[in-house]
Amino acid sequence: MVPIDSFELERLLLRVQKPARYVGGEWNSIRKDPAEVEVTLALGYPDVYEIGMSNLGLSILYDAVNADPLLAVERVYAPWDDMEREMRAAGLPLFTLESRLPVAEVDVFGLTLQTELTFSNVLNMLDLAGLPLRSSARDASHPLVIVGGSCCYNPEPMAPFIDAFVIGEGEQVLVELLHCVRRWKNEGRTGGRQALFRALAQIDGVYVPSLYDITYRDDGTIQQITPLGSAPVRVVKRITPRLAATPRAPVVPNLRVVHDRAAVEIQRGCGRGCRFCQAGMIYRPIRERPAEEVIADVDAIIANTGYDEVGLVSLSSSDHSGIQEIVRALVNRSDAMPIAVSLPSLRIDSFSLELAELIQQQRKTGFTFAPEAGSQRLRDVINKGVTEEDLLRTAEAAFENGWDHIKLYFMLGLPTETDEDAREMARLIRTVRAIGRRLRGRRAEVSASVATFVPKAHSPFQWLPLVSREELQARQRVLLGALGPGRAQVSYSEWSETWLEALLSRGDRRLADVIEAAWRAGARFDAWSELADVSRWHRALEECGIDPAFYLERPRSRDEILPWSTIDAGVSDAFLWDQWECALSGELSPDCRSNCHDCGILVAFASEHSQVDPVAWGCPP
Amino acid sequence: MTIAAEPTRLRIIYGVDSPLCYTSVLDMTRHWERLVRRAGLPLAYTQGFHPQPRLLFAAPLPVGYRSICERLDLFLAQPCELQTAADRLTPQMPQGLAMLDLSAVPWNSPPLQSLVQEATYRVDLWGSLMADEVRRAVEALLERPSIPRQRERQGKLQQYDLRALFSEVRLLDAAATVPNDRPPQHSLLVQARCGSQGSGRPEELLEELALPLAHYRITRTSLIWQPPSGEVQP
Repeated sequence: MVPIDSFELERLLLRVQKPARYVGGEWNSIRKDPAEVEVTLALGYPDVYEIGMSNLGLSILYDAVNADPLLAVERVYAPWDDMEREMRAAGLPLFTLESRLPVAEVDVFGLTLQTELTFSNVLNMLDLAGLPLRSSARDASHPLVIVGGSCCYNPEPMAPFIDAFVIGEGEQVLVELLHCVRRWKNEGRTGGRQALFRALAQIDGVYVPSLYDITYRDDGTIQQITPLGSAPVRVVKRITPRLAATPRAPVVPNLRVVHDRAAVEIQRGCGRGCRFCQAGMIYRPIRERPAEEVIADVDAIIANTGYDEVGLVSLSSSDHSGIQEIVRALVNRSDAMPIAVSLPSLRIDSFSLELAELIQQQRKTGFTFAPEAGSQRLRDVINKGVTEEDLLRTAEAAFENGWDHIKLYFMLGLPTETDEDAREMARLIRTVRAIGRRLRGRRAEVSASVATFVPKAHSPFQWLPLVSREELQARQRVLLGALGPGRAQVSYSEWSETWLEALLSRGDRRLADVIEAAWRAGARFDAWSELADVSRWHRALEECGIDPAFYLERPRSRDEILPWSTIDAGVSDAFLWDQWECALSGELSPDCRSNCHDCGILVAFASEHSQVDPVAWGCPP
Repeated sequence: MTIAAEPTRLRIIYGVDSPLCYTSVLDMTRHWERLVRRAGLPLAYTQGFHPQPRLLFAAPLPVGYRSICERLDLFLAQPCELQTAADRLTPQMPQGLAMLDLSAVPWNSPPLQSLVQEATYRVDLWGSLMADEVRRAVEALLERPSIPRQRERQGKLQQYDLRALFSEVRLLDAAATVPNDRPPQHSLLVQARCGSQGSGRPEELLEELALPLAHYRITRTSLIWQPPSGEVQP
């Protein structure tokens, strides 16, 4: 494997913004000699360095793969458009950061898909690497192209570009997959890529899309999905029975990144069961990292990196049974070097406020709540499990304890929503504002961030359409009208981004042509307003003769074969449908750690469950 | 009788090379903070609402420049033996930073930044150029009484005279030997103003020279202090 011309690279680096994105050599980065290993993986994120380097999952995989002496992993991220232009003009292909290997020369090229708005970047990276975009156009001389991450729970729109999807938690399955490639390579690539595909499809958690034949009805819906050969009918996601070890010597970025701090995942999964939340469904079961392990992890990372801040990562930080012990230990570190602790995803309750007090003793920035919906009725529909009383009491306590700024997160476009819910949202914001005024006077600030709900695969709302633009805008007007004048800033998410995210997360394989057409028209960095242009996607849909309404505006029936039905997240369709019916009747399903709702996870992962203490997953005995 | 020892102010001379030569000043500050923390040395912090670690650079190094003469003062919260500091810091230096010298200076010494007047740079040039061609271009440039240019700063265009920022530009007799698979054809020595009164940037000089270059590389080779201390060799 011959690295790219470093002289040529150095020339380009003088002409681009933030050249440190493209040079590697960071503290704790691991550079193995590619000649000393049997399989080389180029692993990355289809967005810029600052985003990719903030992803904890990739850091875990970097450790897991590099721990194996037969394997090497090198990082690769999407070049920003200035660098892309320079690379194309100079004929410099996409390269890895560690050894500057052309991506086309490694054995496996893997990317994580965390948002649909990076799909166009995947195509761009394949193209910059000099690889044919479509799996069917590649041969045994090309790297195997794989992806993982939460977008793989509907793999179909990207299916024609990808050789294999890793479904679920990658720590173990990625290493198994690389060894499968190693054996195939060592046996002289016998049987070509088809033989490799068939072998990969036998690994639990690996979905090889070319091994599925799909037929459609006249109305456009899927008639049948047929696995070819011995490919499984459904690919069940992989999980690790226990959380894998925390990367204790993560790569320290060369330039400031989005999450420029130590990160420890304290808990995976969430028992709250919010019905709009895909993460709450696909990351089951709940697994906690013991408090003493978290504290030891933080100490080790600080010593190995020199960070002065740690983020405790989970879907609901205040639900960890040892969170108070962890936070107390971290803020009272005995040595001379204090660290800041950041705790995302706090619940709305007094316990969470106490935690926030602990970590913000010096500086009280802002306190963030996520009521999600404006009215109690709608909060019950989505199973948020928070009452207005909880909310107002917590807001009052926050203002009393010295916070001046409260930020509220809401959604519009939720199922069963009416104008009344928007008016209730306004009333709630006004009430919080009045409390702030009373307790903090003019210093009180209340802001609301109102996202648009996108119904996601494998959630109880997966059968529902996206709210229409007209309805959404009408509801935004009701909200603003009911808010009246005053000091509350309200921000909305961009419709074009929501629309594209919904289209790409709810589509099927036929959308691949649209993705390719949009990329050919220049689409990339669709999450970056300075580079995104949704008109490319509208034109691409027209060009391909595809009506987005089919994917976005149509409720799907219980018996329709959904594009993502080949993928099994361990949570049963029966449970999801039951949750949808509960939503319609406004029936709450309390936290499943105290009350099992039979989601199916224990059935799907009985063997993994038997490897751990019966109560280790938070499922009641 | 024991006298409470003064906390230590370390003065460090260090070199910068790839990959950290591509890092901005702000990010360079973070790299130093982190390596000092990894070394287990207690940094002193500024007082106030937003405490900042106390470290002072002599002259910020522009993105893309290499250096063999960067200077930094680190304020520690406690007294520290020089040898201990060196032994702890050196293994924590990331790729692209090289420890060249370390000394202790009095806590209340004036900030280095206020003392820097000029800097010298070596500019390595790649391209099929005859030495005479380069020399003539340099001479012609130096003969110009003024070189009016403008820079954009915080959205505003600023007029300045590039010529006034350079005190010396000279073709070296032999090109420098640099770690690169393709050695440069020529090297220039450039001496330019450096500091709060404006800095001369060698790449702007190259633009004015308008030579057909394939590539160039700029290395800061020394900082020149205000009189009376004169030039300090790294």
